[in-house]
Amino acid sequence: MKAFKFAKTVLKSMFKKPATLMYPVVEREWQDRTRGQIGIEEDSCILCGICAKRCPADAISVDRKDGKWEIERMRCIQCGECVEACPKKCLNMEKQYTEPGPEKVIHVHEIEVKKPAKPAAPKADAPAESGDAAAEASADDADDTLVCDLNACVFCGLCAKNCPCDALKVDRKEKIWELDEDACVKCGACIDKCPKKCLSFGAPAAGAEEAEELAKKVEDSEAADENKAAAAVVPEFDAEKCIYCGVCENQCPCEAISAEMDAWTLDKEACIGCGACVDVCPAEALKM
Amino acid sequence: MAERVNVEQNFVPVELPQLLTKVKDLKAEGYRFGQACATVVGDQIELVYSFDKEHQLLNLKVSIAPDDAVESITNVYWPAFIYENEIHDLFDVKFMHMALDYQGNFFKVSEPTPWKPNKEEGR
Amino acid sequence: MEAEQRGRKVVSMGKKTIIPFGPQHPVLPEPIHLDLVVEDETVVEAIPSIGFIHRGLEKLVETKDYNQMAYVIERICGICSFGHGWGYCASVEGAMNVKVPERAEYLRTILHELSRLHSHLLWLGLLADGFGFESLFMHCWRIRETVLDILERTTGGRVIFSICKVGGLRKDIDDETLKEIVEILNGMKAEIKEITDVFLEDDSVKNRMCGVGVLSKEDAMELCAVGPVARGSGVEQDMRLTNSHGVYDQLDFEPMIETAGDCYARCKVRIREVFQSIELIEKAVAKIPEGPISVDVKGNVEGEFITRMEQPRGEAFYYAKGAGSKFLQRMRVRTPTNMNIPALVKTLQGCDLADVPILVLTIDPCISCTER
Repeated sequence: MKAFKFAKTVLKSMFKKPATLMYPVVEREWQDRTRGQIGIEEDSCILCGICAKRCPADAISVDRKDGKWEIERMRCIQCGECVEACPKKCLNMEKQYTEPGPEKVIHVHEIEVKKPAKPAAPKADAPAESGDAAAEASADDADDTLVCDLNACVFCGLCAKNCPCDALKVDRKEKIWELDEDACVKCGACIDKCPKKCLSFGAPAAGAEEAEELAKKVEDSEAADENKAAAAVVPEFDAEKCIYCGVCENQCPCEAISAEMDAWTLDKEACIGCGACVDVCPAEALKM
Repeated sequence: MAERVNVEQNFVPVELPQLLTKVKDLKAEGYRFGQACATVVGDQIELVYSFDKEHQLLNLKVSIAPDDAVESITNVYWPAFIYENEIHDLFDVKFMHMALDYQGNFFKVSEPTPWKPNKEEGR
Repeated sequence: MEAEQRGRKVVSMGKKTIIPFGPQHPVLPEPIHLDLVVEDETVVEAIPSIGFIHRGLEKLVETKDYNQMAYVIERICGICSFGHGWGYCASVEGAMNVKVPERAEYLRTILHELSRLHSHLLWLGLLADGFGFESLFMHCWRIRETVLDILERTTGGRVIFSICKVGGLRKDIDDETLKEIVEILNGMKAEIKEITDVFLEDDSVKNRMCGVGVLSKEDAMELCAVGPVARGSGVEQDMRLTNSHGVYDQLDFEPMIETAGDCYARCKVRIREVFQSIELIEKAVAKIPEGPISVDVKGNVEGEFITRMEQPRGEAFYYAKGAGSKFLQRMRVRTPTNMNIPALVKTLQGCDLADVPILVLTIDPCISCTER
């Protein structure tokens, strides 16, 4: 006859501290990863609107013209998609939950509308065969369309990889750089990532003569593909400074680098001389 | 007992008149009933019946027009009444000879047959 | 009478009364309605009726693309949330032929077992509340808080994790945290043993559970019962024996089977699964490899795929069908409680009115899963 089996636990718990918190008098200790609410760093926001597109609950709305970033706190499901999607990393997940209240609040943040920097005056008489770049520049209302200086571009593809809207198509062998204007939200993530700094909003500085040279260059390079790769500048490695973190290996678009411990190797055949590894090395151990 | 079963998808298309016979065959072979669901594909409705035997999956796929009446399998597998009533309530597919027929009252929805195809134009 | 209006003939003798059970009832965690046809305190028949929590979540596939749909599907239910998220992601990954890295599978298995742990502890508490043992209920839930703290520490949420995505996981759990989790769980074992001994050995509890609601093995197979309801009746059925999800084949997993078929057997199956989950987590942490936790998934969904997951309550089907766009054509979730309702109806026939709450709780009803 087993009765009162629970008596021991009950007696023990009479003398222990209660398991509950006197909330809200006693504050709760939040854990590090708790998904509480979304916070925004207003200075870094560029009003690209990717967060609003990705939000599964449609809680965020971005007004590009008036410079407003709004979030409906009670619609937000604290999933963190917007935090991951933001190209400028200006959103973060705060630990504290939204305060409960009698009405559904919408928090409005005023963001300064930043116009992308306009380059020098574009040439109005660019010839027709100078590729996509000039055609886009001559469109009336496409003042801040993304353009690529095909002269400087090495078609490494880093811009396409980092585009959050998949708006870019880059083919290294065919030397193609294409932009899907409808998908582009002008966030500028590609401009940041480009190692040759050949992307910009607005017309490039390329003039007529350079454009013709460019067309010729494209033909030449198609014929001498291997030569171009071999003759390109390759990164120089400083073993003293290298910390074998492997970031260069991750960043290389052609997988030419292998950064194992005490064994950093570069495949010169694969290297296209884009210089992405040089830019990203935290120890400054690489030089072109 | 520690064998792991490699589950294959096994989608088998079946014609509507053969459905009940095939289900009876499966019952005789010892299959357990899994689930039944309906999908709107174009202007037809596709029913998928899933069966399981010793952790191996077998699915029967039937394509019907929205007005077709389907033979109920509740006389072979009684638990199917839940799925057939649900499909009837949501998609308005008619089942004949259901063992337990709620006549549209199984699910408490605010408007009848909300997922019926061609119901909402211009959504 | 109502029973006849539903199109089914009721034949019995004696004075019949119909007692509506639910949708609001103190023992029910979620609203289900049963019309109990009662003859002098013995239930002759039970007619279920659901639909109080129907939110039509499956229709949202038309407006949310397959990445956003993961958040919708994991909110079908608060208790089985991780299982739904994983099942959805696994079926979309199967349709798109995406292979998830090994570390992600291990982490998903660990989180799923943690989810099973907290679900069974919740159920034990509800069962105790069902027969009026309030202090046992509170202690079960107090122990469950430790598990929820672990989950918040690793995923960020106590019940809704938002960590599974198509292609893997969104956040990694580093090895130190994993070792700490194992230590915390081992420390909990003694406490859990104290509590579960009360369920299994105390006479007053056994009186309410032994011999009540017997489901024979043939009935369980005829009625297609799933999960602990089937395993408590001797049917060997556990989706973790297939290799469709997780790394259970590398963790030496065996399902827990009991043969008595009554409430006591089902309770014992779940208690044994609690301890088994802690062991599985330990084994998985010992074997987890290094590596990435997700792969990039781009493109549209084409084709169909069915995944079956062993949720804490039983076997769950996830059917994903894509037709070449980024919106799925159909997402169907068939949850275990959906399949156990006929088994419930059968066990209710011939039981006492006072046993009805225990029987309803013993199939572990999760009605928000049933109705989505």
